[in-house]
Amino acid sequence: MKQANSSNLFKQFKDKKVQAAYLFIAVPTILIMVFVFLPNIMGVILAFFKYDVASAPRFLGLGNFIELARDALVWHSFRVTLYYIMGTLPVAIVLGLFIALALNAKWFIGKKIVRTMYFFPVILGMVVVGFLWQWLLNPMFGFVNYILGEMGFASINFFNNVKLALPTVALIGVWKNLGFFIVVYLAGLQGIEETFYEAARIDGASKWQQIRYITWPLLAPTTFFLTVMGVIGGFQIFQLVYAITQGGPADATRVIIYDIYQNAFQFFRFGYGSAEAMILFLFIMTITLFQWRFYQKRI
Amino acid sequence: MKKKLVYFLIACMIGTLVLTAGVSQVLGAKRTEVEFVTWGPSPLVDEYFEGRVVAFEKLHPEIKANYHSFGDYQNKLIILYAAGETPDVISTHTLIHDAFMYRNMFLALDSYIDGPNGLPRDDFPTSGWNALSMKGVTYGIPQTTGGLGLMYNRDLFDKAGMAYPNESWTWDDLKEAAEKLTIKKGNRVVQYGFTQDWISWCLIDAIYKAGGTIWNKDKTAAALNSEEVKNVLSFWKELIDNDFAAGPKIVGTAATEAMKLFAMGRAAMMIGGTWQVMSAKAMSPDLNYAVTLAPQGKTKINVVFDTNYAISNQTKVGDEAWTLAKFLLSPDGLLETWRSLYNSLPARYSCFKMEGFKEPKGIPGYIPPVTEKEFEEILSWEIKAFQKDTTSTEYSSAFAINFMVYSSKMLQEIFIKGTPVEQALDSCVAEINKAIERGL
Repeated sequence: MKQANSSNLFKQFKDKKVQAAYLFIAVPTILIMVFVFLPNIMGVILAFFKYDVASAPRFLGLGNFIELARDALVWHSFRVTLYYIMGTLPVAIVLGLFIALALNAKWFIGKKIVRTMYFFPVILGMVVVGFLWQWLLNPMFGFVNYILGEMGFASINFFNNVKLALPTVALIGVWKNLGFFIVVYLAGLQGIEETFYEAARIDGASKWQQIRYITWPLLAPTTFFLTVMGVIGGFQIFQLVYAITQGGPADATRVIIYDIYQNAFQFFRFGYGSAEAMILFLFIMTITLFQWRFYQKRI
Repeated sequence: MKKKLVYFLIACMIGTLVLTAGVSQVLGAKRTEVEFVTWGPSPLVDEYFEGRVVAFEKLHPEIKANYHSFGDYQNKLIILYAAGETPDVISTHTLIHDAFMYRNMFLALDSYIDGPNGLPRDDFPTSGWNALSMKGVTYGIPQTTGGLGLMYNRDLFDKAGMAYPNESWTWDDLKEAAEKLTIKKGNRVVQYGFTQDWISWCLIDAIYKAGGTIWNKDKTAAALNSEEVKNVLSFWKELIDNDFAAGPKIVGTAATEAMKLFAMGRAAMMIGGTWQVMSAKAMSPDLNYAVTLAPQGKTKINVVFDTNYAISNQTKVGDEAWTLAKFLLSPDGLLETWRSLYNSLPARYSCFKMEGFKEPKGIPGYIPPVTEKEFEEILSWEIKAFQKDTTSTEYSSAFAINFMVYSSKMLQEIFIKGTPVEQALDSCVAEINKAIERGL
């Protein structure tokens, strides 16, 4: 059987169209191998070494992982990242869904303009977004504090307050990505056949019941996709923190990628940083698998 | 026919490539290429250095210097080093220099510096050489030197009927003046007496001025938990808690906001770096201010933060790289840099006496020239601050970056989170020492 398969493949490969197709595939495959696969493999290998770029790598076995387990700052960074995800993902899902529902409604005027407005932050670079919000929320000259001042409130230093810094960064994260959630939900909504709603209306279902029993269940694949992307994106949050707070004040916004960055590029601990990245990868993969199993039962 | 045309075009392309390569090889047969890199803080600085490279090539037609600049400087240098592609001449500041030098990534320069085509060591500050040496071997050359001065708003001092700060001021004088210059309306402070960037640079200067130190004698452990350092931090805390100073809760921990407050006339005094003192003028042209030495403490010392040149130990053109570095560091070269950019003093004493030193001309259309009055009021203090034997780079160490990171965190712990000074200090020392124990 195997022989038959391979001889079929060989025959197929004689076809010039198949050859051209493989040629087309070959280019991106090589690029992915060289620029994605290989660096990842190197990263995994480095995780077992002490490496500072200047000297030859020194094998540590599980040394980096043992130290990681004892590193309070790593655990703190994981916690902060989880808080960030918990503060952004549910908000983006709920807001994204409701704005998409509004934009999908027939009565909504100026859909295209509003959709573009919401999507605009998505195309902005994270660093640009960071600077923009730093300016808006500046305690002395920022627009938001100006408005607060006019209303008789004291100025708030959003980024230099241990309690407010992370929620503020999370809010900016929601603002930045909300457009993506809206557009994906809109696509999902447009895929739901109108007949379901017609039947529900005939049965006397209210608007809320239609959303609860038709829209929400039929959007489950979309929600699954957004949740997975949101969790992965949340664990990868870095630029915003790097541009605005540098992990501060007093580690209040120290997310895991910032910790990896600091260990690798500031302290020259590339092996340790790689070990952290590897653990992060395994963690994200596990969470994604859990999400997959959870949704598989419901979709 | 089609095939012939394709073959002809391919032949043409190959021919052109071979010819071009051949011609350039003939033309550039005797030219050695040297790669030179800075962190390019602005396109203006790039333009300036590109001009310097042109001047260098005129003087040394046998060398082709390629100028590069990029942001994310240290990260990219690390990646380039890992790839074996570091540029030959590298512009550094003390922190980057420490990180690379203690990992043996730079070329030893003593044979060049003390050789027949060398440089007079005496003309450079000893503190500069100290920071660029490891185990008695020199791995860099100072380019510019800078430190901290006390900027003060003369209008606000006049309004309060107070005498201007001067070189003999102590920290107590500063506190007294800050208190008098702070104006409140109800609970709201409308004018702060003092502010500064609440970051490690200011802490380093204050620690050494107070007679303290960051490291033990052989720099094998952090020695921050001393009475002197506690005094500095408690003094700052007192200023902030009493609203005499706009602390990190007001101006943040980034190195820009304090300057904005000062430029707006909402802070009467500010400790700022040589690289900052002229920017208040750019932000607020009518601001009537001057600069003097930062208040002195137990020790008459000015901590300096230098920029330097180093040569990568991956270079294959060490001699040519040295020729370029030497050109950039010639008194004429440094004077030209100072007169154009005037953000930090040239690190050669002979430049201070050269004609034109007191007349920075800026870059037409971009950086305004400095008038004689402005030089006297805003820049002249720097010469007094950076005289021989008064400057220090004692903070420099293999673990300087760890100090910078953990001390910044400590300042945030104390002034934003409200952690007691001793507790924050102990935890900072523990984190630095943990890094030292781990080794490079």
